[in-house]
Amino acid sequence: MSKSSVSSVSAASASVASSSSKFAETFSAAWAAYRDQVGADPRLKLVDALLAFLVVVGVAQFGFVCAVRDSFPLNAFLAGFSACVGQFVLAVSLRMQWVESFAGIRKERAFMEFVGGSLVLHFVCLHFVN
Amino acid sequence: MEFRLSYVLKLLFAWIQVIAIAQAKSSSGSKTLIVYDQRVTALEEYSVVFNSLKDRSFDIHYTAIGNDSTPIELFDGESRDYDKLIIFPTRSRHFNRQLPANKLLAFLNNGGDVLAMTSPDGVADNVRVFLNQLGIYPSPKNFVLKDYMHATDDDNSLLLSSSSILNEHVVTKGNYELKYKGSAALLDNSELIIPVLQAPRTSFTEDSQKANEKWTVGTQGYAAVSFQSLYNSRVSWVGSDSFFSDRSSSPNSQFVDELMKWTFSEKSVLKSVGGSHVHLSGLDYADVPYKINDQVVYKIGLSEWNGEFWVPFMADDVQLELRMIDPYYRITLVPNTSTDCVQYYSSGEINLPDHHGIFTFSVNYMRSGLSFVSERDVKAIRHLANDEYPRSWEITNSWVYLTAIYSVIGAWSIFVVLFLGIQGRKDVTVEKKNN
Repeated sequence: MSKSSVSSVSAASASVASSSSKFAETFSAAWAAYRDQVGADPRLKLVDALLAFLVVVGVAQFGFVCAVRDSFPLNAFLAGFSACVGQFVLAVSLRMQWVESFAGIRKERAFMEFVGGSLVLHFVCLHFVN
Repeated sequence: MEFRLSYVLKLLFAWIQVIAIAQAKSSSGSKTLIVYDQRVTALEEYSVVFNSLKDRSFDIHYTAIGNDSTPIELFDGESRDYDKLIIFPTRSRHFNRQLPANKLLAFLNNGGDVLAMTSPDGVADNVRVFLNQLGIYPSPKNFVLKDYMHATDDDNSLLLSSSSILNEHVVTKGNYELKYKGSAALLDNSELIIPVLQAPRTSFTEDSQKANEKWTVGTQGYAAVSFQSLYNSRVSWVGSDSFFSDRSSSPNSQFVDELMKWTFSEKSVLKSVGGSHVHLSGLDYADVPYKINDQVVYKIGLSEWNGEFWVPFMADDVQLELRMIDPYYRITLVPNTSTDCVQYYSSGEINLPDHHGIFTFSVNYMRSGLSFVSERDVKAIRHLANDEYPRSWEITNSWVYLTAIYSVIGAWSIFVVLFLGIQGRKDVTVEKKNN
């Protein structure tokens, strides 16, 4: 009786240990893969830095709206927030194409499309704010 | 030359005004018809009342009701023949055909004033139906208002205290007792009815022929009632003809005088000289149409007829409503400037609502006993044009979002430069390897 209970406890602790170690393994593997990918191409690191910056700016604006509890110039908020979101989407699509080109679209073309799309986005946001 | 002409015109105009003032004491005409039944009423008994009417320059005509049934014409075609109508108690059966109730209503709706009396001896059907239409239900024939607590000894008249008069605009309260012998009326709860004299708590109206037939009990009965229609024409009913007679003149004359003056539009008559509204800057709507949140001032002038002149009317409860279906504002107007005959009321500065649409500036002054004043003006309040809103940089809150947008653009520019830079360096190394 006591023996079986001890064994079951040890089994449970073993399974917990194994799942947490599995997560750590998976995480470290993913992190290593990411380091490999980014290390191979510094432009990806640059794209990721831009993405992180956009997230920070977007969260800051939303936090401001929550803090003052007023969305009064709503168009200005929408313009500022959607500038971040839109730029994020464009940057992610650039990153996807940079890692693995879409069929029939060269990386240079993808970059130029990113630049064109971004310019349109900035134009729209600047006009929407007023 | 021009100056002289205008001067003469002014003089002429002033002279016409003086003539008008000297002739008319009532604010709405003075041709009066008195209808009486020869078998019930002896006109000699009412000389005090008639003389007082003549002193106030009323033009009195008499029509006696007898056995013939020739119609009594109140209208000549579509225009009213008489301004005032006094109906004494009538017993004649022909009276109903001579002057049907709908004629009386048409007379009232056309601006005519009516003083109707009934008594236990004479309640004509047409008068009763006419009064019922207004919501006044006088007691039928033979019903007498009795009160053993307030009766006089000699002829069983009632003594009604004038301190319990119900409407100060119709008859002012006093400290005397009124002598009353007649019937009483039940009232509808219409707001146009103005109760004037209420029966005492210990009174009742009883059929003098049959036992235990009651019409009113206690204070539900009324001895004198007035009514003002939405056209400002007035009706008074008194359930007694002896109330007006020379014999009861000494206690009743003040009450009778005031009641008749009110009924014949000689007092408590209001008029508006027009409401107006302008921008705070003095420009009016025709110059610059209103837009939301504009500041405007509303002004209205009110006059009261005192029997001879129009004098300024003072009150502290005149209200302006600014409404689009519902009132957006209901503002009590305050007395402002006044002239010899007009008191002006002003709203002060009002901020128009933050809502565009078709709004009504309306003053609807309806007080029981005073004539009704209604001024309405419908005006559009427009929304802001697209270049009238504040720009984004004028709103401090939006500085946060502007900063965000410009920082995104700046970061993006740096990103593009760096991205191209890195690519260029790579290309160079690739070339070197190839070499």
